[in-house]
Amino acid sequence: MTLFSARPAARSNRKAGRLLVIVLLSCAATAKSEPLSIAVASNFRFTLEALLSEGIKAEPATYRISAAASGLLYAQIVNGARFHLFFSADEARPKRLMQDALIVSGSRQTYAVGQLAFWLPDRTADWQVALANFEGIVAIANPLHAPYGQAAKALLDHQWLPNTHTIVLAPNVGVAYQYAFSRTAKAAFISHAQAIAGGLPLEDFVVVDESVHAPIVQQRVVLRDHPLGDDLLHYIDSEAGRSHLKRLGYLPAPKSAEPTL
Amino acid sequence: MSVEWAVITTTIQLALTTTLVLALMGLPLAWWLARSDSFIARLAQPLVSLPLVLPPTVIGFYLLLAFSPKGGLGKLWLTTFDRSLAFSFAGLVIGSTIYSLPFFVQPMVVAFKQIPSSIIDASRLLGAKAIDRFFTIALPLGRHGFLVACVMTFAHTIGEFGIVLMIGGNIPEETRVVSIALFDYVEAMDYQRAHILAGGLVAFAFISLLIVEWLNQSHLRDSHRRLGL
Repeated sequence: MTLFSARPAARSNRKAGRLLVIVLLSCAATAKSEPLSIAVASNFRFTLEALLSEGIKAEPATYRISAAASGLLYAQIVNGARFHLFFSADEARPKRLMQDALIVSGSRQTYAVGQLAFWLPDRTADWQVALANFEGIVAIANPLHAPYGQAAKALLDHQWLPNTHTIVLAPNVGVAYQYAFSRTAKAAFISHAQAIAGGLPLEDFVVVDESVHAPIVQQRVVLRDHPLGDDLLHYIDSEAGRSHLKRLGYLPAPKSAEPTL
Repeated sequence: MSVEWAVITTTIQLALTTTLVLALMGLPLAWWLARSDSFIARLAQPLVSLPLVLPPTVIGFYLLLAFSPKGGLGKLWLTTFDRSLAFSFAGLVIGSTIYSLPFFVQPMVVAFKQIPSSIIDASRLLGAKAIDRFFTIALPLGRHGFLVACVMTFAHTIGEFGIVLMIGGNIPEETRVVSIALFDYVEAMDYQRAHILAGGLVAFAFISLLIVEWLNQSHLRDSHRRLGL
């Protein structure tokens, strides 16, 4: 009996040993391929997902996206959040991070210029008449901290709409979109990218001519290097990436986008 | 480096109005929940407690749809008062009332349930009508619960954030409250102002809970005295 049982036991021991090696090896492998961790401003989230999945065909398991307001993400990064990349909705936060010496040097760069869109869901007259006779609540992102809100506020300050409007402030363009979607607001200033991602009918929104307001320059920084992150940034800078961005509602960064120091 | 005073007065106004509305609506509701054994009352109990477990965004989202000029309530409001219910102080009061409902009703139900039914039965036999019983027996005996309920409702409304963020619209002197201003300061990296508001809220919440604790202690002493302990 003992003779018979000894052999299988030895074999299972060997098996267990082999298993252990495999487990250890795969642990080492996963430690090596830590997923790319990206902090992204809410307005760019869906665009970023499209760039990752369609642009560089990244597997969903290889990256993690944290979407929030740029200000919140900035606060998280300053307080030790370990992201690899940060796509901000503005220039100010990446600049602050650079001054805080929290970025890979020379990695601050404009990746896209946001386009402001005016969404008027239940338009009955043609645009010129509808805008001239606009009356009611218009939702904008809070200009205190949201770049799209600042652009919208600048337009409204210059009588882009008649004075018969009331402004309500949404914490971000996502909520501004929600206000118009639920029709609690009659219209909203949103991003062109949202209008595209939301599949809004083309006759329901206008993209505001970017010469009317200061450009919504969106910058990114590298916080820690990651191979997939490099692929992503290269793609965004490439011709293919730039036209991809354009299709999704952003103006690509100016060609001379050298690292801004 | 000063925070807007209007933010603080709007917040206090909202909390006071909500407490008042809940005192008027919540008292009869709590009395009914405490006394009734009906099937509907047993269904109503968890309904009242829903805001305790639901994320404020759920309530905010549904309210946003309900307040829309296309939704039922919003349409009715618009035709009656000729102004939008969303993004208004009245809209916030409705939202806060729903949000703080369990904070008022639950302590009241507990207080009403502690009133011995023998006292109520005796008063009924002596000819007291339901309204009489409510005002001359339930209210005086439940006054401790009432104070706790008011403090909790007031404090909870001061700290409300998610619903206001969704249905408020951040309008100065109308819907911009402390928690929203705090969010804006953090977003704008104005940490100094954020500290003033955040610190103020912590102090306020602590004092509120201190008052509740003190009320509970004095109630306990009272009932011990009455029992001759």
